Amino acid sequence: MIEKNRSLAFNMDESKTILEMRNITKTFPGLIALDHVNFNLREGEIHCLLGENGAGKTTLMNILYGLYQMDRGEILVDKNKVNIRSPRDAINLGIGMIHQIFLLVPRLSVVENIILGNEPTNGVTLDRGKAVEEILELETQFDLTVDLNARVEHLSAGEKQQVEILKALYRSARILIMDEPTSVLTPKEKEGLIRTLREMASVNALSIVFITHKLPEVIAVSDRVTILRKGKVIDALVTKDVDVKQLAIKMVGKEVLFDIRKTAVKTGSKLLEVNDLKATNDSGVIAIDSVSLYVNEGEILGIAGVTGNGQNELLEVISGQRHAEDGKVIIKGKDVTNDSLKEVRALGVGYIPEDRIEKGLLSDRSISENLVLGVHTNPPLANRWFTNLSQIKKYAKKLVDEYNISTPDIEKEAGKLSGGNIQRLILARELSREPDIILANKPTSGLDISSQEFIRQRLMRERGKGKAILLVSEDLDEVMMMSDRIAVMYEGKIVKVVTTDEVTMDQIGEMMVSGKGG
Amino acid sequence: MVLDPFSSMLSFFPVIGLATLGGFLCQKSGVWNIAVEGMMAFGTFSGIFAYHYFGQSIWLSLFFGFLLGLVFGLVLSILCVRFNLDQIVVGFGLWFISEGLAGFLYFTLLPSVRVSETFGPKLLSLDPMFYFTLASFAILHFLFKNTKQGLAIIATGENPKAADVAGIDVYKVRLISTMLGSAFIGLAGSYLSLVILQGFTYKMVAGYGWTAFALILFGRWTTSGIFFGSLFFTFLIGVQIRLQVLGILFLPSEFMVIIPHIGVIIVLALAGVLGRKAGMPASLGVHYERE
Repeated sequence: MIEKNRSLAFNMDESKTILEMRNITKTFPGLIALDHVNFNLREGEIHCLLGENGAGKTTLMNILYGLYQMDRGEILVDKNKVNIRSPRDAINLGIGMIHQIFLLVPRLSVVENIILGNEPTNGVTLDRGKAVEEILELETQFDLTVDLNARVEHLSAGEKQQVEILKALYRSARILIMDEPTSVLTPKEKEGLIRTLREMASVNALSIVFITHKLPEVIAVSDRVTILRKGKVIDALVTKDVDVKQLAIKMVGKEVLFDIRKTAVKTGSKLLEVNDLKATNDSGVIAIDSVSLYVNEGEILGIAGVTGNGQNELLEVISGQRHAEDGKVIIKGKDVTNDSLKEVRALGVGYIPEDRIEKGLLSDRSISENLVLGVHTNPPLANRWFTNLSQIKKYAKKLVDEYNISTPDIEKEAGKLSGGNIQRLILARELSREPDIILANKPTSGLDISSQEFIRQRLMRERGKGKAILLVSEDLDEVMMMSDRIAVMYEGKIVKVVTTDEVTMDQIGEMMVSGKGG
Repeated sequence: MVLDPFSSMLSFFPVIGLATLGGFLCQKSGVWNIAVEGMMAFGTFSGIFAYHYFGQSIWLSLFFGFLLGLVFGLVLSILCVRFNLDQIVVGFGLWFISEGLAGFLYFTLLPSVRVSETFGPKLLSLDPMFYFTLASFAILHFLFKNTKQGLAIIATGENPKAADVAGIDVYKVRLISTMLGSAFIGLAGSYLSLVILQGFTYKMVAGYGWTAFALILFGRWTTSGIFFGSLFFTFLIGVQIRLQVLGILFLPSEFMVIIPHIGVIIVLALAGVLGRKAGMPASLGVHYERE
């Protein structure tokens, strides 16, 4: 990670507080999002807002940026009480916000996006020349390098983020709010961003609020950290005085089990078997090549590999979503190669897709509808002609409780849930069908710690019940702690299948990147 | 029989051009205006109404058509932008209401009105509205290329949340664009009754509103695209009228009337083959609300 520049940290206590939020309270129907939250920001610091999904971090900052109105509380900028009713008010106070999902207009150019809403004009016409000049000056000052004439739709995620930063700087922001800024970046872009931010804070005395749920980032980037949990401030600390473990405990409120205890389960017969399987990806290039593996009852087979080495295609072929060119898929002794998705599901295969929102969910339908999807025609949820709404409600309610899906209302649109809750919903739906074989594609990626924990434990429980689980993951910790055996995948081939007890994480990591089976 | 100069083949341009341009303005800001046909129909009535009651001035009557279009645009945006009703449903409703209302009001309020004067002065045998339409396209082009208002409309139609956080009032932009767009559509309707057909008949718009709607898609939501599209379609109408006037009826006259529409279908099919939604404002028809 980046060498931290703490030159300002020495006189932090004396440095000026430029923003104070006092006793901020905000309720949504059926939910207290923020409960008397206090937050303050000093000039030239990077201040992390740490918390799990749904803890209220983004809500707090949306209030500061005028997107939400608070129910109670007050905001002081430069010790003056302010009333922020819209983003326009926030911008005028020197507050800029960069949202997790970039708010750019893809079809417009970089310049047009940056000046949008604050355009320099000659009377009626836009003064593009002046705009470009001013933006280039900012680029030099802050060491940013986006091509100003490019259309935003052609930019990479990292470049789009630079456009967002320039947008805020162009509006003379002194306070920069960044909502989960690293979630879309490659590791290299991430390093660049952290370097840029540190420089902005220390050299240009910008104050930055950095929203995240990733603990190492807090350590790498921030001067101070405020921890939110379920709408309340748990603590506000100076970063150099804490470590990852302490932060984790404060964030989730209990000792996090960074380790899952594997119980001995008697493994039984082969439930899933794949022989010499071959298939192509969407562009017709060989994506999986002579893959052979099997999963027994009561066993988790982890597929370790860098994303894009054929893992998705493998699960798609097994579940009947992709055509196999060659080879066999055998489920419970039955050859199901190139059978339809429906037939495979009927044999008892549960599938947890990687893209949970696009493929796992009808995001504009309700939570209860999503939960019964696929079983909604079975009694008692339906008779021969009609669905039984009260039974569906009851069934959905039961699953919501059992899987701790936190929502005020099961009729709410499923797409409005947080990532962790969406994954719990999908897990609830898939596991409630009692499948014997579970295909899980990166089931915990991008989730907050307690959802990750929950999902891992549920999968472990299924293993205990004698299910066969194929777990694709990029997270080596996860693969090591969950799997009984590990198959390493590299460029569409299985490098090696090993028993977890017999390898170290380093050996697996080496195989993942080299493709050589040591 | 003396032929008009060639340029008169473009005399339909204000009808097609203004209606297309109006619908385009609405759609650019993110509002489907399905009611183009109905708004034109009401324009045909209001033009004739004003002509009869307010002193038989074509200029004034055209302006009246423009004003009532503005009012219809206000209704559309109150329902769809302010109250978040489904844009398609509201649009169809407005279409039926305004078309029916136009006929009903004409037959109850007015005697059979004929417009006897010709609209002028003419240049190259084309009247002032032709040049007004040309100018409107030029202004629209300038608006979207070179002004902050144009940028605000595009941003609102593409990504209203981005516009909102940039300090643009999404409701206001959509309200103004929809009202102004509808006013142009009303103007196109009153031009049809006042200048082209010089009177009112029920359902006289005869699908030109839907043609305008299709031309926006054909033009891929670009000013130049819809400009050349409307010009091309105007030309097809010109050809059809010319053939009829010359008595070249190698086909039944009913068939001649549908020639332009067949042209549209072919053009749309081509546009479809070449990529359907390219250019469509990303948030067209999507209601915006701060969460």
